[in-house]
Amino acid sequence: MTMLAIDWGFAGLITAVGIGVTFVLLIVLIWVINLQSELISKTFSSRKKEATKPAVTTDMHPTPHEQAAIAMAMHLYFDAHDEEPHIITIQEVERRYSPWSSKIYNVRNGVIK
Amino acid sequence: MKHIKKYLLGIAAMAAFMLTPFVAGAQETSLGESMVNFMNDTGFAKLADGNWLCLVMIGISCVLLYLAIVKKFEPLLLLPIAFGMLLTNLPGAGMYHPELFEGGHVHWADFADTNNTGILDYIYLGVKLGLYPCIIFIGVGAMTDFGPLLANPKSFLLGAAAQIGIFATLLISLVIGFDFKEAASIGIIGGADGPTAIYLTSKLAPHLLGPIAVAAYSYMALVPVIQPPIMKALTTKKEREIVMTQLRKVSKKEKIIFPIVVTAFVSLLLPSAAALIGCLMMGNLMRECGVVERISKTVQNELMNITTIFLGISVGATATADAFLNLKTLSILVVGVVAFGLGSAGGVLLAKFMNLFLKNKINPLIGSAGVSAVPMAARVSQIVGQEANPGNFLLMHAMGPNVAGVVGSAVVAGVLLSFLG
Repeated sequence: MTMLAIDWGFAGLITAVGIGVTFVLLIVLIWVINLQSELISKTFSSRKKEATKPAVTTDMHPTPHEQAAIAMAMHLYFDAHDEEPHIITIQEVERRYSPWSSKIYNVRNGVIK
Repeated sequence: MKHIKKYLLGIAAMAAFMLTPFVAGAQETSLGESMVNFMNDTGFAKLADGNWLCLVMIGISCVLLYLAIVKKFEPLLLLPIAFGMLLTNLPGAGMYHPELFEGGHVHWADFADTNNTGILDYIYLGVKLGLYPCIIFIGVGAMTDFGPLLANPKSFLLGAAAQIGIFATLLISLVIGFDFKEAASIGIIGGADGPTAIYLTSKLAPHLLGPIAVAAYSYMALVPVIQPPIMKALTTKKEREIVMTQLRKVSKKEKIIFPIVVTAFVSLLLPSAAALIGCLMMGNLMRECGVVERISKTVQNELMNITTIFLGISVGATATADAFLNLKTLSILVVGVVAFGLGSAGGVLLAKFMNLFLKNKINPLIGSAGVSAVPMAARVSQIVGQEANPGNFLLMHAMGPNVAGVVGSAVVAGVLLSFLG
């Protein structure tokens, strides 16, 4: 009885139109977004190129990745590190006696027992 | 000395107690009568006077409080809802009067009698007038990054497919015996979008607001339990292992233009969805434009939190014993799960269908994120995807359909309002 009482025509209409409108609207939004991103990329690409050119010429430093690649290539090419002399030296430091730094003239010497 | 003071105070209190009947007697009121009146005025007396169903509702509110506090099921909303439910079901407190909103209209004239209005009546006006869901949508917009959707606009299709559950549930609800307005309000649970469900229900079937809000938020919290079995049942392991290509970087200009374009376009095509879509996109524009940082933060935090408190309490207040404890509520809870499941299945199946034509295959698991439930549904896609292929990162891909689902459910609400409102 409940099934018969329902206006299935109206129910079908709501369902069909609802699903249809939702899909159509969101599909059109996909098209709008694609159009928008294309327009933005076209409009701003020329300005961007001009703006980026000087930045490319001024930045002469290679990136850390490039530095690592160059170092690796050099290492492989020369097949060695820098030559080390393997000589250990002790530098002698000569300090001549001076009463200004002598501990025997310390002011507290007399107090300490 | 201290003891003497105590005794003196005690004697004074006793004297006051003994003298009261004589003073009352002078005003022709006996102490016994006053005490009886006082006892009859208490909530306990009203509970004994045939309001025992309120006790059941208080019990249910305690269960919801337990779920919110201990199990952490959407606690930000479930806790105010549960407490609102507790307040409204305290006999004699008179905090909420459903008769002020009878027949789906606000009876403004009755608000003049302040003795017959409670604080929850005033708070509920925000729901009734459609304010809170729209304010929350501003906050949701301010917290949402539409970048993944803009990077892969095809996600809109998955967001649309997940809304099929709403219409399927509408038909099921009609068969069960609900009328069109009630069936549409129950169906919107499948959109997994709390504010949209509350907005539509407050317009079409306000008497079902309590059960529908409780069902919607409970099932949103249960997304990690409901969705994975459906996702696994509808996909093969090979499909779940699909690794998607990296998303392109979206420029700031695109993100700024998007909310303006969508608002204008959707509102012109479907004016009944303008309130929800407009608020969502306004919040998003505040976030993306970068010049109203203070407003954006306020909308995301303070405004959102304040509105959430009011929305939760007033929705809970509608869950009175008469409105909640009936077969309809049980049906709504059952049909609500079906709505969720069908929505998730719709997204996964459309993703599989799209793979028949696409060169760069999409992982069908991101289709289930088309039901809104941001970002829980996207996280579920990520987790299920990583179970099949630990090196797969689907989260950002799933965020596309996820935010598309928010737009999609608002559009569906607009369609249903224009037909039935």
